Amino acid sequence: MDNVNAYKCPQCGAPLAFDPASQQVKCAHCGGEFSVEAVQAFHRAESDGQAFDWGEYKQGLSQETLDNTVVYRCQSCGAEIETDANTAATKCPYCDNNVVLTDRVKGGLKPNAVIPFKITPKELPGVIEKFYKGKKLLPKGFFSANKIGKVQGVYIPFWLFDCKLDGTMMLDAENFLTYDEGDYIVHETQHYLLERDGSMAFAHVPVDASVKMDNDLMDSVEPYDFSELVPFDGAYLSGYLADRFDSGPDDELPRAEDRMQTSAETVVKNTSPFGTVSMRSNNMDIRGASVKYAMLPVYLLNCEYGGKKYRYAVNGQTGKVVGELPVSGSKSFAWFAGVFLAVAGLITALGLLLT
Amino acid sequence: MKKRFLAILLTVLLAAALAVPAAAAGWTSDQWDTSLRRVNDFIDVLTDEEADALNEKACDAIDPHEFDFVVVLCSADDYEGDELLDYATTLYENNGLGYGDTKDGVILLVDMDNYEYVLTGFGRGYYVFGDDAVFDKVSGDFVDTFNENGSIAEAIDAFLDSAAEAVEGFDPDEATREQMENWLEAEPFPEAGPESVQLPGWYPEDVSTFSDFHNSGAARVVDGADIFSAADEAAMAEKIETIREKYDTDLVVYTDVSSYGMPRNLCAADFYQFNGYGLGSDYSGTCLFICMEAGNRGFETVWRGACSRYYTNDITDKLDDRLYDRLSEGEYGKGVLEYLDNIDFLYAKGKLPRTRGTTVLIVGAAVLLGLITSGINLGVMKSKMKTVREATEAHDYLVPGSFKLRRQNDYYLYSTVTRTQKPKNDERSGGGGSSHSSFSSSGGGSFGSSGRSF
Repeated sequence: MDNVNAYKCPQCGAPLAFDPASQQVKCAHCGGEFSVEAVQAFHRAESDGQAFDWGEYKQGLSQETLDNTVVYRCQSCGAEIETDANTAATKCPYCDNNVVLTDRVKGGLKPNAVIPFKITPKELPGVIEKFYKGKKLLPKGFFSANKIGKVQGVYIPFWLFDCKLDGTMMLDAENFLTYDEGDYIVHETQHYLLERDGSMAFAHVPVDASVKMDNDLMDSVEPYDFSELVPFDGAYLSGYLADRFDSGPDDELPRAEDRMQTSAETVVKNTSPFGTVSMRSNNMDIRGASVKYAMLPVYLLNCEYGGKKYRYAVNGQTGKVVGELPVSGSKSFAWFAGVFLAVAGLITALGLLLT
Repeated sequence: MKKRFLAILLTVLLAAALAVPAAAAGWTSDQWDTSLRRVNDFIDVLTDEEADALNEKACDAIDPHEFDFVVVLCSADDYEGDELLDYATTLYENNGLGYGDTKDGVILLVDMDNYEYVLTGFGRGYYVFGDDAVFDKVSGDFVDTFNENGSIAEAIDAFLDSAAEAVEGFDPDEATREQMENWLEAEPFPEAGPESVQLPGWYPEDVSTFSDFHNSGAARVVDGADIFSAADEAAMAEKIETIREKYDTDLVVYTDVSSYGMPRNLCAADFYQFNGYGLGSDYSGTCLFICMEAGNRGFETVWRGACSRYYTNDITDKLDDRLYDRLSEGEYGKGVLEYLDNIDFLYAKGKLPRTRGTTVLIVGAAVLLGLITSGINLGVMKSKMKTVREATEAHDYLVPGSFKLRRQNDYYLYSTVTRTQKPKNDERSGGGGSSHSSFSSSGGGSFGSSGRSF
């Protein structure tokens, strides 16, 4: 069972977990606090020098086909742990030990970088309250404790694309003039063809690399502060769930390119000195693309209301919460009726007063 | 613009043809120089020498051309709330201008505040300046001279020359000549003086010796045209009596089959004054005159004294609108009773009561705006409930300063052009528009009036 890492406390041997608040690895049993580097060194010594490989992610890596359920043995209690093919970190269901499945994050599958969790579980209620506060159409008691399911911190696999767009765009532009000509007012529309040839660069355009994770949900938790990216270490995953990627960079690059092309068109359109501008042709191509494999922190939580499940994601670095909130029909009606009566009443009163 | 002038001038012409000669009736504007100068500068933009020289030139042109040439320079305040064309017509008609029985002449009225002008002919002048080519030539000479030299005196001089030349050289085509002959035959002009027309029984024999008096016992509803039922008349009399007592101002309803050759407002004012209506020392009161004369059907409200403060242009327009709707449908009794209710409300509140249509309009607009506003508000609130959206752009990840342009060209291809005619400042709202004026009655009383034809 060399593929299972249960990070143990150097003092007492109890399971360790990464603490976002202190950015240290903590032992819940003896209270010991250790740096990620110290735990890694201890683990290397304990595991006879076996360590994660570090190196730039290479494109064309051999993606394993892991469709079947895989069984691992917990190093703490010896129980068998069933995971799906992409699980990279989990908990032992028998001893609650934090388990990192090292074979999912080493060699060609090893992430280049990680953004550690900064938002602690204790901070989550405040973050969520801030999210739904002021949402006047929210049904009463929706976020009460009995409706919130288990909150789980998860490291989501992301591809971070660095690309340069280079080429030419042709745009149609219109310039509107109005002037007097004798007894007439003249409206003139001048039509122009604009040519723009140049380049621009994008860095760390993120696209989630997990097929089972909803793309819109992951897009919405952006942005991340990538200045806080650190080299990957398995110790960061301890105490959290984590999946390895199951969608390769070649598959996800089109999504990143679409986003970059949209932004490039906006930037180029802004160089037009004329009133309206529209794209005639875009021949900007990707040059010099590179990609990093990173694990980004997300809390996932589920709520059930009215027989429908609602899923929310919290950016584990910034605390941004995203998701669809249920709309109360009675509150919607009350707001509609209230605003209608107020506006219609005010206008009627003013109209009758002034006529 | 010119066609608009012609349509209006036709009305003006008929009124001039039927009117008692103004000078004989003592009907003059307060502003007008009693010597009836032909060039009048109300705002002193001409030097005295320029004004005198131009006036002399205009006067000298009258007899040789048997035609009157009139120029007036005014400010916007002089005709505030009125149309420039109406003001020109009032000045011309109310001051005894015009040559001969047909009152032939032309008036050029210039608003020096807005640099707008009206050029309009009367009598024979209607046909002369109704000709497109003549109108363009004369107005063009005036405008071009002013634009070239910046001198209004030189522009007037050019106008007088051009107008005199136009009158002298006017050679109407066959159709116009026939129109003129038919017009002259159809409308024989009365001799000067009110005695030349058949005057109503209430008209004093000698206007010059008339002095105002109170006749509190006179009927306040005089239905000379016999258009009201007895019940309506009784109801009107009752309402009028109530209003008189409540507001200490008189109110009279007068109908007749003729305005006796006078403009309707003058006829109404004379009826009011010569019959001793009016309360208080200023003879405060209002008279509604409905004239049922064929070709001259219309109504006129005239007022005098303290009640004048209620009759703003806006109020009289609305009063006229409402009365017009009834009278034009033949609902004379109902229309006048509503009119009296409106007057009662006006004196009590200083404004007219809302019509049902206005109320429906207000409530309808309020409901519509309420639905739109509440719908938008709910939409915005609902949109805030969903924060999951696919990312479509990557602005956050654009490397600052990385955007470089190697080549940037803007090629002009072509233009598309649409032209719309400028709105005309002197366009009127149409034949239903009210005419407002202040004038003196034949008995020397100062009246205001408003009314329209139906």
